[in-house]
Amino acid sequence: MQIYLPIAEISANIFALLGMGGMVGFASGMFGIGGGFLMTPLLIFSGIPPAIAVATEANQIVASSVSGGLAYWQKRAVDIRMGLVLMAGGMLGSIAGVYLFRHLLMLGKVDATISISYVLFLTIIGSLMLRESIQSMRAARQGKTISLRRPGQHSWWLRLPPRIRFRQSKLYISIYPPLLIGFLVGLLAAIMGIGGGFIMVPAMIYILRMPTNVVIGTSLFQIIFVTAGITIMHAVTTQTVDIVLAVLLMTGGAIGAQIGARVGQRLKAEQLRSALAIVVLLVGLKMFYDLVNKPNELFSIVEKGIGL
Amino acid sequence: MKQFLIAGIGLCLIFISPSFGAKLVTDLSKDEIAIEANFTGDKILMFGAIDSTSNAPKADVVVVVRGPSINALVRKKEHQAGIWLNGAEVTFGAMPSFYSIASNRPLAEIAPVKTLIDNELGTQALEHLPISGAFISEELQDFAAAHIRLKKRQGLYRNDDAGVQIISGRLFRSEITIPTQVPLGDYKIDFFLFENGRLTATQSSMLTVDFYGIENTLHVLAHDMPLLYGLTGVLIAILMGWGVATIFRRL
Repeated sequence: MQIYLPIAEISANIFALLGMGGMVGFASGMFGIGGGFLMTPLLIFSGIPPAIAVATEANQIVASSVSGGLAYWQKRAVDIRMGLVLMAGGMLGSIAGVYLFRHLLMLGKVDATISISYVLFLTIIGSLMLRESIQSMRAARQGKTISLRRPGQHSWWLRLPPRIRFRQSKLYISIYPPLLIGFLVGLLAAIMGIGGGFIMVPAMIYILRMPTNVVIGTSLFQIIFVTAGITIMHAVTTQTVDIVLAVLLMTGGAIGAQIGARVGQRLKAEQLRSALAIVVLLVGLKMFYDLVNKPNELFSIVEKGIGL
Repeated sequence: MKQFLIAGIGLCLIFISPSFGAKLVTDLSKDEIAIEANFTGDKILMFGAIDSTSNAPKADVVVVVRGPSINALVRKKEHQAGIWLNGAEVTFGAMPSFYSIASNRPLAEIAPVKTLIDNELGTQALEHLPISGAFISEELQDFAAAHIRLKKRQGLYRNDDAGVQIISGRLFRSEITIPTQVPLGDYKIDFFLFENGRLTATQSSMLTVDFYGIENTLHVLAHDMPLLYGLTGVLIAILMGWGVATIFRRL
């Protein structure tokens, strides 16, 4: 059954879109990730213009972070104050990102920028995750546990004034590192069509030294607001948000995520992380190949006055 | 059934036409294409009658469907620092966003090249006028050729040498398929009658392509009230996210 997407201005198969949403939702439920960094490339591979894929995915992430974040909110596993500081940085970063996005779109460089960002981040994060999961699998075999949090003396950048007390995270640290992390993740979120959880969560654990029990809830909390802001800004500046496409992805994604979460609970965390790392690396590799391989068609057209 | 109907209409047209002195009488099966949520393309039948009472020369019919004019920006990827990036670009002014030409035999057999070019008949005859970008003529030709090639691949430019059927020298019909990615706007349909290579009559009709229903609402909202559109998207997302989480907790 076909449905016409009013912003992408193409007709697509409803079940294919629901299925794509479902698959990525399954992965996101299983691995506990947002899935934006899988969904956006998948949309691009299937022929949705990259600019529309990015903006529409921001809209979908709002839905998936609300449904994922609700549980953490009810368990009070959200550091609201930290969330607000990250969000403030995220808003500034995403404003810069949307502005840059619009500029690149006019220059015809947005597609390549999206691809390059993906290649860089997917390779870096994928390699780090793979290394870390292999190490902890080895450690588990030897009967050791690796503590992610190493309490003790804060580095100098965490002591820069003004400092804020984050009670829920049991931290008294400078406002600048969370602001800067929020800013960078917001910038990437706007350009790449991601929530940025897969960058935010490690940054919160390793750089801000937050306790792991509030990390995911806080990350989702700020992602809701930042991606909502990004959706509105993309809609206003470039008219690239396709609500029909977003709703189909949300529906498939929501169902997939619930099934994925149930399957994920039966698997070991290290195995899940190494599987995710491999998926991440493969997506990055495919994007890298598309960038360096000589395309069959060197030319492309943009018609001015008829959308993008 | 359709054929009989057309033949019937055609016959009426023949009897009416001499009194108006028209050599060419034409019509369309519809003058509006509505793009709704379930739009998967459409078909339009263009038909008419030829008044060839004159000493019956060989008559040829050409039908051109032309979409609204737009500026076409053509970009070429270049190998830079190991990767393929958009480099040189040319903007061609006032190109038809949709161009479909059908004739009863190859255009080259119907009329001399000059006549074809003067009337912009055939995708090769479309004038590519650069309004910005590279102006080296050799490169320009590459860009113009790429533009036609890409539009053809999208199904938005078409040359059909056998797309017009002439029935017993007096009636003709031509059917075109409108693809899903059809641009919106007002379309002009031109009918050309050639006799012995000379253009002897022309007729025109209009066709409108527009969004209807929910597609129209969303499209208008997205472009005219983007803030409201963005807020709507976010609100739907929050409600869906919340709804799904609530439903699945109960299961």
